[in-house]
Amino acid sequence: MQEELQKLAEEGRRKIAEAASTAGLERVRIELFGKKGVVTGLSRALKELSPEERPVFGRLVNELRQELTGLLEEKERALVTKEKNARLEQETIDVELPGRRRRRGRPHPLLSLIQEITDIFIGMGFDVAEGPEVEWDYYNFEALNIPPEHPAREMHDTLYITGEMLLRTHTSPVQIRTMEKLRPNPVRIIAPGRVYRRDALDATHSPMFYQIEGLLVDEGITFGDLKGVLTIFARKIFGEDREVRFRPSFFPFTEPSAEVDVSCSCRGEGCRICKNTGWLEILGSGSVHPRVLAMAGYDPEKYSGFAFGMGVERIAILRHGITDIRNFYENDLRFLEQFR
Amino acid sequence: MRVPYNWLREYVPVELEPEELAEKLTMAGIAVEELVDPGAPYRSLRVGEVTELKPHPETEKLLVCRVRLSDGEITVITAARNLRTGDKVPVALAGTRLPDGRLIEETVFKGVLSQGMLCSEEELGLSRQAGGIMVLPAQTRLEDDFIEILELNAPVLVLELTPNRADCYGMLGVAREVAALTGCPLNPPALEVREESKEKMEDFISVELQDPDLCPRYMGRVFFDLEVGESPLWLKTRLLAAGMRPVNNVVDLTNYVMWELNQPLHAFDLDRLAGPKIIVRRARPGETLVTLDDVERKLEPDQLVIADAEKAQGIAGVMGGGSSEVTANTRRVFLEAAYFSPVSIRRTAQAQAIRSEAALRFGKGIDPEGVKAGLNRAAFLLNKLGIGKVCQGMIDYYPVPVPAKKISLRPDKINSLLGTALDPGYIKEILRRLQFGIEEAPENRVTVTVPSYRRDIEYEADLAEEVARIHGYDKIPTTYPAAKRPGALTPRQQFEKKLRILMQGYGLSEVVTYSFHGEKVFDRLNLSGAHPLRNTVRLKVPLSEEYSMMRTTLLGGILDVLSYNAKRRQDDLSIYELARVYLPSGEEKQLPGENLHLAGGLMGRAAERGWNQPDAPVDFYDGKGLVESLLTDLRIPGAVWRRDEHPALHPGRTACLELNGRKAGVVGEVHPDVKERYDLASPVVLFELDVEALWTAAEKETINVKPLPKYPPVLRDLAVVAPEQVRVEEIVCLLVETGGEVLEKVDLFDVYSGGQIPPGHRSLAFSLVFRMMDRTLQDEEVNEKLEEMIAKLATEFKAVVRR
Repeated sequence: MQEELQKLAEEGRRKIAEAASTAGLERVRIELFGKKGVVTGLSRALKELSPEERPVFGRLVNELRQELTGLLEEKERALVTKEKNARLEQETIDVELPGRRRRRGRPHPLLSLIQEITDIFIGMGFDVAEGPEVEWDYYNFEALNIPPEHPAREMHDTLYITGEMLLRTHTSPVQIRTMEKLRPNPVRIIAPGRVYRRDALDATHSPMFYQIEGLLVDEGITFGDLKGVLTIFARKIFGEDREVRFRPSFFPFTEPSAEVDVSCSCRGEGCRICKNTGWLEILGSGSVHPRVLAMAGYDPEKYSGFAFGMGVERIAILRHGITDIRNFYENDLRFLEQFR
Repeated sequence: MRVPYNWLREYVPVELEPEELAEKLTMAGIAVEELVDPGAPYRSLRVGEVTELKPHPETEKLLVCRVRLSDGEITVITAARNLRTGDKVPVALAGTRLPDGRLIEETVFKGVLSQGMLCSEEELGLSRQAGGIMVLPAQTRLEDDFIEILELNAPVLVLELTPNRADCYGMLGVAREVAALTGCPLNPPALEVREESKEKMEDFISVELQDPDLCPRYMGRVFFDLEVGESPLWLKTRLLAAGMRPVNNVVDLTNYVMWELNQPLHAFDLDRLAGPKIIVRRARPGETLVTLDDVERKLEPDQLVIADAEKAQGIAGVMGGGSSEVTANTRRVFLEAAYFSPVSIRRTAQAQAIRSEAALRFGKGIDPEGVKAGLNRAAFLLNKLGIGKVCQGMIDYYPVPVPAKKISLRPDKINSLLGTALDPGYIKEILRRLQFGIEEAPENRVTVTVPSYRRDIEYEADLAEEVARIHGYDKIPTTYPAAKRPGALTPRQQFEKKLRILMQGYGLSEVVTYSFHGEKVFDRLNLSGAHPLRNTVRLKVPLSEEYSMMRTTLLGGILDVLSYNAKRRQDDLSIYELARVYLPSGEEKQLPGENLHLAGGLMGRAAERGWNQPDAPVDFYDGKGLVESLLTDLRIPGAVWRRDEHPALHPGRTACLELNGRKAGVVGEVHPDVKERYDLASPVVLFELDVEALWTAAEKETINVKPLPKYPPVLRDLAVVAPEQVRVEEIVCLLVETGGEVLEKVDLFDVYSGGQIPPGHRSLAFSLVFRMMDRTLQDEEVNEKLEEMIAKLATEFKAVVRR
C-alpha cells in the first residue's frame, strides 16, 4: 500500500512538473483530484480499511494530498506568470511610432493677449466695459474734448458712416459711455475692442486694429496713482525687471498726459525693436481732462481720475518680435500655431 | 521740426552734449525722434589750393589745374573759368560720393588724367544756380574740415511735436524750452529796424482786410532797391540743415525767419501786382490761381486769398501765386506777415492738397502777438545782409486783439492732482521760467498770465502738466489707488470667455478677420440682390472697395481664411471667430445693431492626419455635432433642428438651430459654387450662431445635483424600419412619451438603408435605458413597455421592428 502511494506520488509530481500550460495543469488536477481522480479514489479506499490501518494510512494520504495540492498551486502560479508574459510579449507594439494626435485649437494671439491684460486689470479691481464700434461723433470726439475743427482730429484719420456716425477711431468713447452710466459712482474699467482708421494696410498699418482703454475715476485720484497702476501693468506684461518711464505727451482728453515706455530687452545696448533708443513706447495715458469729467457729469472739483489706451497689436509685436502687422489678420495656420 | 544744434545755441548757449539735451527735451514732452548729421553728405570733401592753371594741350574748353592738399598735390581737369591761382576750393578726390549721389573716379580727359573734381555750389546742393567752382574764404587752411566751414559740424535734433506744442515749430520756441529746463539765459533775436529808404510805404501800397474772421491780424512792410541774388553761405547751410533748399536771398530770408520765429512770411513782387492795393478776401466763385508749384488751382469761396485789384495773387497762408513771385529781376517787394485762422488754413490746405511749411504752421496756430517780431526780424536781416532798403512805416491791421489768457491757480490743487507736495514758491518759479506771468491773488491763489504763443494752455490742469513736466514726471511719487472691491467679468462676459475655451477644446483655432468687406463678397457668397444680408452699414468715403461696408455675416471672413490657407496647401483646418456683425437700424438717429456671432469652418480631414487615423473628410454631421456639444457644454436645452436654406450652403445639407422658437444659427456644408469661388478643393462645413440667442437660452441657475441611481438599469436595443420621411425626432418623442418615468435615456446608434431594407425606408436603431429610482425594474415591466412602443410605432409611423 505504501509502495503504491509512493508510486502515485511520483507520478503526480511528474505530471504536474510536465504540465506545459494552465489548461494541461487543469487536466492533471482533474486526474488527481477530480471526482474520478486518483487521490480522490484513495480517500474513498480509506473507508474500506480496518480501524487500525485507517489512521496510519489516512495520515499518509493526507500528506500526499497536501504535497500535490501545494505543487499544483505552485505550478499554476508559474504557468500563469509564464502565459501572461508570453501574451504581453505578443502584444508588444512599436512605441516609437507617433501617437494618435488631437487637433488643437488655439486662441488668436491678439485675443489671448487681451485676455491676459484683462486678467491683470481685474486683479487690480477693474471691470470690463464695452461699447459700440459704429459710434457717434459726439462720443468719439466731442465728449473727449475734440470739438469739430480741432487739430487732434487729424491724428485720427476717421472712417465716417454719415456726417454724425463713424467707426470709432479709439476705444475712448467707452470712457464716456461708462461715466454717463455710472455717475456719480466711482469708475474702474478697461474696455478692449476693435477700432478703425483710414490707414491703408501695410506692414505697420491696418485699417482695423484692437485697443484696450482704461479709466479710473474717484475722489482723490492723482497722477502718482496713474504711475503706480501702469507700472504694475507694464512689468506684468514685459517682465518684473523692466524699467518703466513716463514721458510728457499730449492727448486732448487728458491733462497732464503721459506716454509710457518700458526699457527694451536689449538693456539699452540698442536693437532694431527699440530703434536703438533702449525704450519701447507701449501706451498713452493721462489724468482725465476736467472738461471731459464735467461733460460726462462728474464735478472736476470733487472727482479726478486717469485714463490710458494701448494698441494690442503693438504690444504683441513688441513682445513676440513680429515684423508684419498683417500676420494678425491673414490667420496663416503656420503663424497661429506658434502661439501655444 | 528739424533743430540744428549750432543754430539753437545762438538763442540759448547751453553747454550740453546734443544727446543729453535731446534726452532732457524728450523727458519734458518735446520728443526728439533722432539726431541726424547734416554734414554727412560732405564728410569726404577736402580743401585744396589752386597752385597752377594751364590750358589743356588738346582743347581750349578745359583747364589743367594743379591743386595742393594738406597731404600732397593732385591734377584736376576743369571746365570752370572762375578760378585763379591761390583760390581755396572744395575738392572731391576719386572715390568720393557727392551729395547728389555721383561717384567721383579718376578719369582721363583727352590724354590728361584728372585725379578728382573741384566742386561748384550747385554740385554740392548749396545753390540752385549753375556757377563756377565754389571759392572758399581766403583765410581757409588746407587742413580745415570742410564740414566746419559749412557749419554743419553739429547734429540736427529732429523733433516729433505733439499738436499742442505749435510754438516749437520755431527755433525760438525750442530755445525757450531749453532755457526753462536748463536755467541757461535766453538770447532773443535782434529786431531793431533801420528804415533806410526815404520812401513811405503808404505811398506805394494799401491793404484792405475784408475778412478779419479768417485773418485776425495782417501786417506788411515794403522793401526797395533790392538786389536779388545768392544768400551768404551761413544762411544757406542753416536752411539746408533745417531741411529747406536755398532759393534766393529774399526767399531764403523769409524762410529763415519762419524757421526762427515760427512766423511764415510772404514776399510779393510789388511791380507785378495790378495796382497799389492788397485785398485780403475770400475767393470768388470760379476763381483760379496758378500757385508757385505751377499748378492751376480752383479756389472755393470759403478759401482766403491775398489779391491785388484784379485777381488772387496767393492762397493766404498756404502758397503764393506764380505771377507775383520774387525773381532775379525783382526790385521792390511787399512783405506780408499775418495771423490767419488756423481752422481756415487747415481746411484750405487739405482741400487744395498742399503741404507747405507755412500752411503747417498757420494751421497749428502761430502767435498772434509774434507777427510784428517776425516782420521786423526780416527787416533787420535785410539791413544786415545789405540786400535792400526798408521803407518808412508798416501796416498793422489787428482789429480785435486776442486777449491774454489768465488762469486762477491754486498750488494746493496742483499738488492734489499730481500727488505731490511741491512748495508754492517752487511751482511759481517753474511757471516763471516758462515765461508765465505770476500775480498773487487772495485765498492762496495765483493769477497766471499765459504767454501768447502758448495757445494750448487754458485750464489749471494744463498748468499742472507744465509744473509736472519741468519738475520731472519721474520725480512724482508712484502710488497705488486701493481698490474698494474686486474686479470681475460679468456673467455674460464669462459666457463669451467660456465659448472661446470650448471652441479651442473642440480643436478649433481662433481667427481675427476684418469687420468690413466689399460688394464682391455678396456675389462670392451667392447672396442675391434682395437678400437681407445685403442690407449693410456703408462707409461714406471708403478706404477702398474692399473695405466699403460693415459685415452682416462672419462666413465671408471664415471662407477667406480657409482659402488663404488652402492656397498654401494647408487643407486640414478647423477655425472659429467670435466677432460682431453690424445690422443697419434703418434710422439715421439710431446706431446700427451690433450682434456678437460665433462662426466657424471645418475643412479637410475630420481628424488629424496620421498613420493610424481614419482619413475621413469632414461632413455636415461634424459641424452639427460640434454645435450640439457646444449646446450641452453651455447648458442650453431645447434645441430644435430643421432643414434650412442658406445661399452660401449646400441646399440639401443645411440645418438651422432653433432655440425658444427663434432661429439661433445655421450649420451646413458649403455650396459647391461658393466653394469654387473661394478656390477650395477639400470639403468644408460652416456654421454661424448668434451668441445673444445662446446666452438667452442657456441655463444660468446654480447646478443642483440629482441623487445617483441606486438600482441597476435594464438595457435594450430597438431597431425599426421606418419610411424615410418619418423624422427621427418624431420617433424619439414617441419613445420618450411611451416610456414615461421608466425610460431614462434614448440614443440613436445606427442608421441604415439599402440591402434588405425596402426602398423608401431606413433602419433606425436606438439604445434604450430603463430604470426606476426606487426599486429594481423587472424584465416583464420593460418588455411590456417595449411592446407598447412597438405597437405605437407601427400605428403612427408604419414602422416595423426588426427582431
